[in-house]
Amino acid sequence: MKNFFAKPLGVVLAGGLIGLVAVLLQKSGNPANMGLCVACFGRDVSGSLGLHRAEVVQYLRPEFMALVLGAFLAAALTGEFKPRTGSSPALRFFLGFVVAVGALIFLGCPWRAFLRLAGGDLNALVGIIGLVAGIAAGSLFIKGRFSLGASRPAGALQGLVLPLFMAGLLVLRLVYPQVEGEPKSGLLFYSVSGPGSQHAAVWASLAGGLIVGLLGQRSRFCSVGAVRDFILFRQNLLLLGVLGFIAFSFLGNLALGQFHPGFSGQPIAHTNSVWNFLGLLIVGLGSTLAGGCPGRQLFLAGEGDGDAAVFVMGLLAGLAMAHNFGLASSGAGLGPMGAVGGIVCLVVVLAVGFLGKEKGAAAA
Amino acid sequence: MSLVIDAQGYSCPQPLMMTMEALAREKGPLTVLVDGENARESVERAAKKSGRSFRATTEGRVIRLELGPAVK
Repeated sequence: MKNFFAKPLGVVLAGGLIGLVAVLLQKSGNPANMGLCVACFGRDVSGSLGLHRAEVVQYLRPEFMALVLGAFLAAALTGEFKPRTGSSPALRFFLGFVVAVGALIFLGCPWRAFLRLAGGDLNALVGIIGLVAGIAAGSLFIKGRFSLGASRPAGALQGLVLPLFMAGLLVLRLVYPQVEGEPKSGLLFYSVSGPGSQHAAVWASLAGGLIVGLLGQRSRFCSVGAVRDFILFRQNLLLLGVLGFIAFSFLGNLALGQFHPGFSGQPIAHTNSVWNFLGLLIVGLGSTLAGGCPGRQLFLAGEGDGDAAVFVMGLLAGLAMAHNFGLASSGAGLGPMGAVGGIVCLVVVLAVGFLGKEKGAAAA
Repeated sequence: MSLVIDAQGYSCPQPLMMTMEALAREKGPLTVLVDGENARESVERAAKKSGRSFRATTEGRVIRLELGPAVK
């Protein structure tokens, strides 16, 4: 059983196709340089559920659920659905939480950082340097025997719980469709202006998310693993996926007239370089300690990884709190509590790195 | 009897990390136990890069990876 998408050509192709899907979703109505963003979409999802009340970012993005369900399908069809849990779930919840805050300080997960770069937003370059610095720091912790411990095989329900939750959210989306100009439909909040009001058609979002979930699971696409594996092992396989993602989305943007280079006036972005850098540094470090970028956590949760599922729930909680506490940035700059929240998150993630050693870890 | 590394249940990149450390100090054959396809793939790449032989067998949930002795 050979997996084409685990070979160099397959990995580049998978990354490239994921980038193209993102660019096409932007063309179809998703916000600029935000065809796919796990942080932004999770934030919109938590807003649509009323976990935060920032009116401009509330929409139950079908992509978010479809990423998990696509990965679940791919794993189930290839015998890779393996329910497991027990590797520091509580710590992973808070890693998801701080990664969420870091991402909303920057305004995007690593995927969106690449999409912003591919759309000409040069602030993203500053963020990506921070991301790499965070991953390098995380790699040092791993080299120094940081570990969240091993998971154990678990019953089917442990692995199914997040895919089922996502399927349930999709049902809500279909039962309570958007009503033109109305901020609420049944249980769900819908933005009538701002990024939350900009979205592709439901079927396009669903199809795009499912394709990316399938490709992501097969190719192990991971923006954080890409840099980590290169730093630790000089393995460049995952890096090829990220390079494919950036190259294809850049070319797609050029072809569709979506490339506008510059620092100022970029869509849903700010120009505070210090916090663009530090925001993604928190994301890079937290994600490295958790074993993968936010998108990868969605794919792993689809594969039955109950610990990744807890990371995702922490992410959703953190994204909501980032808005409730004024930690999230906006186009105007940092949120009122952004710098304080960022420093707290940096301290938390560093503490996890320094203190997180497995008891009785396999000795050298 | 070859050295056995039990990397089951560890998230990325620990299975590969444990394998690489063992590859550096163990010249004889090496057995790595993993439970995920992605871990199998990354250990296989490392084995091939080091020139060692590689064989994978699946026993239920456990994937047993057997790496040959180091080549001179």
